[in-house]
Amino acid sequence: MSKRRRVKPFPYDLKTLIAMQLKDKLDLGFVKNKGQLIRKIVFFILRFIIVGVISFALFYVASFFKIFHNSPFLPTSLMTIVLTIIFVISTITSSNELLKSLYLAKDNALLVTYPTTLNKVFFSKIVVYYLYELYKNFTFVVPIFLAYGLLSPVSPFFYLWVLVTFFVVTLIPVILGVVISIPLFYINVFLNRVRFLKTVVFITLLSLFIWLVVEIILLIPPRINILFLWEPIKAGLSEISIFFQKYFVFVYYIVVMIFGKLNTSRVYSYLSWEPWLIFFSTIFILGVLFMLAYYVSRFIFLKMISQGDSYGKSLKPKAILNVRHSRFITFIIKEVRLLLRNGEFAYNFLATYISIPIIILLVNQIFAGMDLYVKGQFFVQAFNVLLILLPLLASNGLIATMYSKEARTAYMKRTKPVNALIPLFAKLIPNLVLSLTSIVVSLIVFNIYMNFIFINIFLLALGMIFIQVGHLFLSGLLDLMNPQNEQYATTGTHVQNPNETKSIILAFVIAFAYALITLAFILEAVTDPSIKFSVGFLKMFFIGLGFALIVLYLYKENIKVYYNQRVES
Amino acid sequence: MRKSVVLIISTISLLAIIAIGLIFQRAKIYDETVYIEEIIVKSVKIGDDFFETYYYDHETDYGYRVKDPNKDHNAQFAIPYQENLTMLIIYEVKPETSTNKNVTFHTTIHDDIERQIATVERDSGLVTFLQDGTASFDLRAVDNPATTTKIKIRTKDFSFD
Repeated sequence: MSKRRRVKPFPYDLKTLIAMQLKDKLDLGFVKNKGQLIRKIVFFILRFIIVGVISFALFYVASFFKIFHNSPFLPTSLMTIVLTIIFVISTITSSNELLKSLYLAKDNALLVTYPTTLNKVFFSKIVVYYLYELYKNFTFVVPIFLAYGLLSPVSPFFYLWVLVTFFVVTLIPVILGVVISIPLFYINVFLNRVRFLKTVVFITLLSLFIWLVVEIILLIPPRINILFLWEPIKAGLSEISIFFQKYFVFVYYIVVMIFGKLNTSRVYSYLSWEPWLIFFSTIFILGVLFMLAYYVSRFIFLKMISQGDSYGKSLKPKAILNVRHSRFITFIIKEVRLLLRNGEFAYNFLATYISIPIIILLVNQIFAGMDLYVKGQFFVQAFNVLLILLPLLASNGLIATMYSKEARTAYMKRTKPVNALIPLFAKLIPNLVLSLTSIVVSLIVFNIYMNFIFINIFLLALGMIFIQVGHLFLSGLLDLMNPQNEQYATTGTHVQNPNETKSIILAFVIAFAYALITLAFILEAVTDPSIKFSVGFLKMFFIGLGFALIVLYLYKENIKVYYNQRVES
Repeated sequence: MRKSVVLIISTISLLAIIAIGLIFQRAKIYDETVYIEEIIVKSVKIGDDFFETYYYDHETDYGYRVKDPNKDHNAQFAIPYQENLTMLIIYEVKPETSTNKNVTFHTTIHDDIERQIATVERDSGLVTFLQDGTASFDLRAVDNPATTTKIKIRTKDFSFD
């Protein structure tokens, strides 16, 4: 009688599940390649040392200038502040990431077909996220704690103990993330049902965030005088450190668990009950919290697996009147819809376009607080041009991937009975409109501080708009000339697109060149009284226009070569 | 946008702000020296715990004292003495715009039988008690030694009670 082959028992299937997902999340392709492995280890150590050295330098400065309580001794509350900030950021990220990976991930449907239990699939997802967080913490957080330890009276045992405690410390935001992802899931389901509300919530939160950031920037004093501000800043920092120790007691306890209790002899010691009680209590509380969250969220996980993408969505078909648009508008509507459906892609652009005017506000508010020489003002103006163009053009790197991202469906364009220029051009329109709005708003903010006459700021705006148009189409052109569709169709998420790199390098070159030309024209107008100030801006306008026209011509001609002529042949 | 690109742009911006600020900011010459007029002892820090202070002024006996945290009114607190008891004197100076805000710390023998009760580090204000008892410390402004203040700290060995 032949024996039936049995599925390997625990822990092999769980280990395999974790290894598989980890390989995907951390791109572990380097493990089998000795050269790449050594390079990865060297980079890890380098990152570790750099973070450690920077942290050490900052702590040393704080000690040298007696920033906290007029004393050279760094207070424990300083690490409470650091750890609170890390916890807040990690918990927000973990909640969001776990929501996506536990309930909304596409690979759930595949993973449950493997010869393992659903519980193990669910558990493996949490473990994978925990290991990912652990890797991040060992790279960026542990060196900060080691740097503090080097400047504080810690016990030698700390240098070993800190490595152990971080296995527990990392658990805190992950388990909180598992807990928070449960209500977040229901909020997500509710907002997906009421699309209008989702948009309203998004716009409200975004507006609130922008308002808050702008208010904080405007708090920067109109005259920055370090001599007069130094003492209130020092006093403020000392008060903040006391506030954190008083009101973030839980985080303070975690700090005590890591460093030990600062005893009456001013030495961090583990020879008291506090660090050990905190250590075991934290493990116990996290264990209980995890078990509770595990059973609740597992239930949601199972529901999501059984109902797939349709969970919580209204499947009633909505009747929409078929409106006939022109060919060009039809393609633009299609592109806008695609852009909004791919949230991450849209957020990436939106974040860049919104942050540029905010950065310009911040930089000019800082410079407004400085009493600069006239020549310095000209450098500030050129720096503003650089600061608008650099992130704007660098974000066009993603444009250089847009056509290739269509992967094998890109060839559909050839089957459409329209000129290929229309769908290709329409793909760039949403970004073009948003980025031009960003330039206009940034220059309005810029001019509040600079007070240029209308014609000058108008010419500068046009010049920069043409530079953006030129680089945007140039990025698209790079993608057309060297398509990477096959890579996107086969590789998955870790695509190395050479066009993106080329586009970013060009962005840096163009932004720096245009900023330097701006500076040269402004200085020329100042030093030579026969040249009007507006002439410099007129020249910049023509440079931008010339660049845009050349690229647009090349774009049009290349489409002819790559689409029309190939089809004809 | 790639993280590395964001990092490069942020670094360039920061460096440019610093460079423009350093090169093109008008230099100011401050020829006015603001002296310390008052030194206020805010608290005493033992380990991570702060103990508030209050000002006591009675005929010849005056200066700051550690407030009993268990009482609402100002009453002197006897800090439990332990071997190698160490504490920091937390202070602030007035006006905030003082040119040189440094203060030095000095111990004054203060016990009936004139024992050395405690030592204090001159620059940091780190006090170490050698035995239980009451010790006084002077805080002296570096730029103006005439500006001083005093704190009296009492410790008691409760292990014999």
